[in-house]
Amino acid sequence: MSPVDTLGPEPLADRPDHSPTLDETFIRLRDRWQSETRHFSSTTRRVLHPAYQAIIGLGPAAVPLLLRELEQNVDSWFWALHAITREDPAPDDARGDGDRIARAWLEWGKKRGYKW
Amino acid sequence: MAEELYDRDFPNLKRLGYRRTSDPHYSNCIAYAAGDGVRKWWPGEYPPRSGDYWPPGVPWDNESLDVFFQAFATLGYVPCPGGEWEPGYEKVAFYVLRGDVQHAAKQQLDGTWRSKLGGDEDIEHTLEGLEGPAYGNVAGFVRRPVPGYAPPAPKGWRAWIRGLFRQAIRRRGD
Repeated sequence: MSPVDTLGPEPLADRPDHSPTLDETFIRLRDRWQSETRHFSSTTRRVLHPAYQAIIGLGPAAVPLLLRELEQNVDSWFWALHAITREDPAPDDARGDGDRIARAWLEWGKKRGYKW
Repeated sequence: MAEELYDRDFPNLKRLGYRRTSDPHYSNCIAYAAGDGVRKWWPGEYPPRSGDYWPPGVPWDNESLDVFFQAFATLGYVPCPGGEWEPGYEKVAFYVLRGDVQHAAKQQLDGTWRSKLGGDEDIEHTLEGLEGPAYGNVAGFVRRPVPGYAPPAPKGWRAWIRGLFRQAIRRRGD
């Protein structure tokens, strides 16, 4: 066993050929967005943040990651999901109710065959 | 984690004092001030949809103080000049930054102020404590009578009523 093996995998930043995976990119953007907007109540101000817009820019590949986020911790991901998919599965009378809207999106994701 | 960011967003808060009064949960300051523990309130029916609640019939296409006053009018609030404590009234203060409302705080029955910091926790604070780069400055107030509020009886009356009760109890004992 080489010394490297005993130390575990190299840090990603030390690998010259490493390009971040979609998941890593998403998590980095998510963490930045949540840190820099967590005290904002304005949904407009939150979703116009550059990190949130970059998540929308990841396109359809980000949908399972957004559904995973919704399942673990409800946050303002509905705008991004709608922007990417052009769908809106939440019933009108659920407006503002994060848990109900999240459940509607998770059901939608399962019906569409998304796995997260 | 959230409290580590207070200095960045609310540079006056620690100096003026605050007390954490809840854990983080999905909602926002407007819903908290409106007394809605379930839904998140914010104007905007944008394509794509935000999923937020906004009272039907109230303009949703801007975030001005006037629009928020109209939203709270649906709950019986009317504009008032200041945030001083008036027994029998509950008040809401709005913070505005560059012409748009960013935050609201709710006055408690004892005159203290509380609000929910975005998606984070609720805290008790002074109005000045949250002024700064995140929310701007307090720019308007609304108030409404507290439902079912009974003002405390004057001191002499209270003693008189207590005396009546004592007399009645004594008579029963005789």
